[in-house]
Amino acid sequence: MLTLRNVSKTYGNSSVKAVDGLSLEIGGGQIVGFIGPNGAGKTTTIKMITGILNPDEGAIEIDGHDIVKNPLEAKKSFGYVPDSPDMFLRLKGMEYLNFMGDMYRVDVSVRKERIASLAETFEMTGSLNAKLQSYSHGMRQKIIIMGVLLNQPSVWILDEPMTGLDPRAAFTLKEMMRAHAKAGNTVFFSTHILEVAEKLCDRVAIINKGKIIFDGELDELKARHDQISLEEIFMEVTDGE
Amino acid sequence: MSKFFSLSKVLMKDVVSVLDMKFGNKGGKFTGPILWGIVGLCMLPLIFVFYMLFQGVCAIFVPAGELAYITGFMFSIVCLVVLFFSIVSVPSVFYFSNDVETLLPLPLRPAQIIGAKFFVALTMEYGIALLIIAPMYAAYLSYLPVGSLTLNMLIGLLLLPVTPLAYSSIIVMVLMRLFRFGRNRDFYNLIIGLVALVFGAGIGIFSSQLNTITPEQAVELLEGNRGVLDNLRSIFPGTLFAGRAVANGEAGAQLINIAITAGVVALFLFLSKFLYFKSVIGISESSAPSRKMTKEEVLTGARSSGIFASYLQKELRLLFRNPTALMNCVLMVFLMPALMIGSMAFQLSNTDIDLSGLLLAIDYNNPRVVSFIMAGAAAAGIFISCMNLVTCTCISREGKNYIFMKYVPVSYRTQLNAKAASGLAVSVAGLVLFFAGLEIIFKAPLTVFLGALILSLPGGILMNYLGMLIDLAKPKLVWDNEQRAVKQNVNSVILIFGGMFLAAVIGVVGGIFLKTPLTAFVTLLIVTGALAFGSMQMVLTMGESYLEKLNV
Ligand SMILES: Nc1ncnc2c1ncn2[C@@H]1O[C@H](COP(=O)(O)OP(=O)(O)OP(=O)(O)O)[C@@H](O)[C@H]1O
Ligand SMILES: [Mg+2]
Repeated sequence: MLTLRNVSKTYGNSSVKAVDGLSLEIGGGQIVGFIGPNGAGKTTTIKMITGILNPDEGAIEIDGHDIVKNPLEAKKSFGYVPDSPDMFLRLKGMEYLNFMGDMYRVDVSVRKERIASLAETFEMTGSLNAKLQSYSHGMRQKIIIMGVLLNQPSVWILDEPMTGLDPRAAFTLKEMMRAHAKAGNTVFFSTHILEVAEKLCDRVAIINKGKIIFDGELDELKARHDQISLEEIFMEVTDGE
Repeated sequence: MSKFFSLSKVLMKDVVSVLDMKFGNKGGKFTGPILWGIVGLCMLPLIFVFYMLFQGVCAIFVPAGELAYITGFMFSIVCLVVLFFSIVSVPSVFYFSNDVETLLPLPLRPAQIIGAKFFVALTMEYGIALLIIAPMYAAYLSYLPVGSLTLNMLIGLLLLPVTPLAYSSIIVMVLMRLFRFGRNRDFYNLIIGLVALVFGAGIGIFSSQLNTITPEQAVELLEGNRGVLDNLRSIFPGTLFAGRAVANGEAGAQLINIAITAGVVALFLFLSKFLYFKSVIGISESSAPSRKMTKEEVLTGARSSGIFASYLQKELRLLFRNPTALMNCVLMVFLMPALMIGSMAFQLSNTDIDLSGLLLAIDYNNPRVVSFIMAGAAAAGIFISCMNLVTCTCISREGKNYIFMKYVPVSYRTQLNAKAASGLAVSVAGLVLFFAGLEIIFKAPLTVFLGALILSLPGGILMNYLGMLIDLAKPKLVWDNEQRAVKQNVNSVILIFGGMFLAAVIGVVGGIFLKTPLTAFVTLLIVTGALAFGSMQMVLTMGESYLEKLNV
């Protein structure tokens, strides 16, 4: 469950709102793709959901916990993959996973199995004794995703999670997102790859200049615009400004 | 040529930003110049001593008509110093600056890239050259009937650092070509940190020795070592001619100097074409172990600890594996006391005072003596801990990743306390070593030793939380190079000067007014304890709102 009510954010003394009166309601069992041009406000929205930025107006709830009023409970309910995976570069893979396991209080016996199986599916087992510094971009992305999945949070919030992943890892992640939603959980992710959004999502939210300009089922969107691909619709709705 | 200049201009930003220390992320236009002014002021005595010494030398040689000997000497000394300094600075310009990867694919000729990099390195060396030659030249001029800055001197100065810099660049490139392990940024930073320390200590010892040399001894040294000087000149042949040009106004000699320097540059450009590009490829941040982890190891490697312990462990790992942070934030805590004890022992051994007699003469039964020791210990706790920059860079070092602190489901309180604990661990280790070292020398009664150690601890807590408060208020989060997070951070300067001031106040006031050991101990413990508690409360109450305000 993820609820945003009339959320706005302006950076510093900028005159334009990076996010402008945005509302979204995402129930369990849904995968929602968040798409929009560069600088539209996707990352800003996600940063407000995760408590990194405080919204100027509006309220955000994750699994019923308000991120501003009840931050710790809210933060326990989601897992977040930031848009840049360059973090904790001097930790070794295994150390990072143990650290994340500790932060999210994952039991050791559970942790063992999950790390082993995640490492296997993402083909990272051999690299876990190396520092993140020596990882490639995609490997860093993988280890960050693994750190999040370790805890199996009910709400997944992913900012461009596919960037840099090889086809196999991207496939695995998509399968996991599907399975997670099927189990009644929520997945909210931003992406620029419209094919992914088209194949994966039950629902898309298109944002432009801080405002949601479409929010609904893909089929409904296609019917309304009478066109075949999401790409063409995207071109049309974000055009002419 | 225009490409060369625009390239140099872009690369030069690196140098300029070194001079431009900033407060937090923005603001404080004048802090940079003021800081460098302070550094300059600290150098003044050394420059003055240098001037006086060289005046004595000139007093002998100038009237004897050996002008060219003196000027040649000036130039070769500078060459030698530049050679040493540039061996340290060349790798950072040529190999470890962030622009290398962007530059290599650009459509530039190798000579343009190398030339621009060389030019950038050169500008750094001019400062050093000027600092050394200015006092010497001033002394020299004061002995001439009509002394003034000549065109020959200007040309000589401009060409001066070129030859040693070319040498050190070639040496570094050969080393980089030969040793793969040198091409690792962390390793380089560690080595550089150590070299800089040795340099610093060397300069310290050198300048304290300079004070004891009389001009007569300097003249003797120079007279006795003409052979050494001749060797220097054959390494830097240009200095001979530059010296003659300045002393006798020989235009021909200057031309030879120019030709020699041009030859050295040509040789450098020629050699570096073969050396540089082959060695600059494959520079890495760190190296991965060659052995791969197995599934069994993954299963046994998974273990858990408490949130606080795990967070603290993460802080310590990131701190100790980051050579820049290790050198700048941690090492001084251990080095400062060692230097203090060492120089104390050195000075005592240089005088006629019988050291062991003096130590035995300390009367630990005299309440005044012990209360002095107590005040000193409280002050030392603050002083040594203000050299500890772990907490006062703990937010800045996170850089853009500070956002982790905000989305992880761990209270700010726990996170800040874990960060403080990482700094405190360093402070406590430093203090224990310091007092243990003193105890070995002075053999004070155990109660005095323990009392002193206990009194120093609140100072450690105080400085660590104060440092964190400073960094929370104005963290430097936007940096492209983690060295900037630590080295060009005004927060640390504030903490060091603030700590020194506070230590002085507590030491002096406590030493004067607290007359018995027990009152000294109790009063100081209450005062420093209250300060420590206050600073901790301030961090824990204000830290959250500071963190919330960050949105870089
Ligand atoms: N730290 C910041 N300070 C000031 N303005 C910012 C900051 N971060 C983002 N902005 C501005 O806010 C707006 C939205 O940026 P945001 O990063 O949310 O876009 P995005 O949709 O994630 O774009 P992209 O697809 O490129 O990732 C942009 O106009 C951007 O310039
Ligand atoms: Mg973004």
